[in-house]
Amino acid sequence: MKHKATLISVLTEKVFEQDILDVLEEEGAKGYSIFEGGGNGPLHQHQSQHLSMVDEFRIVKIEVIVLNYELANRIASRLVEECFPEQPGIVSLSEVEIFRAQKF
Amino acid sequence: METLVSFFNLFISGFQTPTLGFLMGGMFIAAMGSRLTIPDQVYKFIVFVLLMKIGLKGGMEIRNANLAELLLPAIFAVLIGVIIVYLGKFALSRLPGIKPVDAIATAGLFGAVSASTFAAGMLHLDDVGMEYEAWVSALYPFMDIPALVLAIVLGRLATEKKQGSQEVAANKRKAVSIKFIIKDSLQGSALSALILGLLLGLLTKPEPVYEGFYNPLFRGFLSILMIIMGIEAWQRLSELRRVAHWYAVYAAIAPLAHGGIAFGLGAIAHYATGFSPGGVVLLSILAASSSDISGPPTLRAGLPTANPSAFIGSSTSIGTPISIAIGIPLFTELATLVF
Repeated sequence: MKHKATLISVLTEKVFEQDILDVLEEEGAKGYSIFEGGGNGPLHQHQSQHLSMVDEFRIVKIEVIVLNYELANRIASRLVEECFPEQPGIVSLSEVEIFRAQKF
Repeated sequence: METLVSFFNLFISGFQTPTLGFLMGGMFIAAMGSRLTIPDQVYKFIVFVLLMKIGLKGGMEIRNANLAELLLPAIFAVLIGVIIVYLGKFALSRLPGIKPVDAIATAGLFGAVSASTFAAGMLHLDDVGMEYEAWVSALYPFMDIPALVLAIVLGRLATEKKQGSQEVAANKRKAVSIKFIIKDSLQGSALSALILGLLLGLLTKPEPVYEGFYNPLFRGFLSILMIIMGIEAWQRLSELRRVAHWYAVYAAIAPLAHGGIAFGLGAIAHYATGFSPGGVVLLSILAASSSDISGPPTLRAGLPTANPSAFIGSSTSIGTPISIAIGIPLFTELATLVF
């Protein structure tokens, strides 16, 4: 049985990770996943393949799925306002279809 | 003239030491496009062992040291950290194409201290047989923390002036407080390891494990670290090319200028309280070095608008090689001449 839900996805640097998690926790979105990776930004290259002395500059993608669209919207606006006034980051919402709605 | 020849000879023989030779080797293979990688975890472990060794030695020596002797060098260390940041802010922000916040962040990183450069300096002094107080390592946080705190405070002031305070007030989540920056620096991997080593050296009797494990590993681990630093220095050059060329000029001159200031202040401590010539050299090396592990993330968190390519590029790709290749032999030679 499929249910509509909203996926909140946040891309930022590892150094700012904790701020995002704090907001998610405060809003009750306790189940999230974090993926580490690399890439290229307008200012800085984030290494993923080879040695990087500063681990905190790696890119992280934090994903959380919530059933309630209003909640997703509120979390996204809080993230943009509180965590990214000047920090680099991308916040996006996308509609997803999930199974096992009781898990969320 | 003789001094010049002697420095030149020292420089040439420096290339044959594991420290500098391995650093150059790392740069060389990276320049050749080698795919050699050394895992992050290995690198972190090496830095941890080196700092534990330095900390343990320092802690064991503080037990028997007269702490009053530490006072003047510690005050000077704070002073040097502050001078470097103001000097860098003043010099860099006058150059074309450099944003004030980038200038301040770069100066902050050069004021902060590099564990690897410091370890290389200690090994060099051991090799040439110049005595130093092992508690000099305890000066590390005295220079590192004030430089980072001052850079972040000045950087925030510069961005707030530009944006107007309303917008900045929106950044409620992490209002930058001095307490937070100090806590963040102390929790960084480098300072944590050093302080742990100092405490263990001071409060326990770690002599057997120090002699049996940390001390014998020091030289070999440092040589691997130098290869890593060389590879990293070469790779970061491409980032430095993205920013104003003046950063390269600053990064080449700053380590020696900062070391020179520290040498002068160290000489005062030498004549006033008997600070050893080797201690003066190490103080100069602390000043000449620029942070490569814990400084960048602290600055990134405190000054998110500063361009990391500018401050990491100038520190890792030019500042660190210059302070290791030229700074260490230069200040050692200067100390044998002056004292």
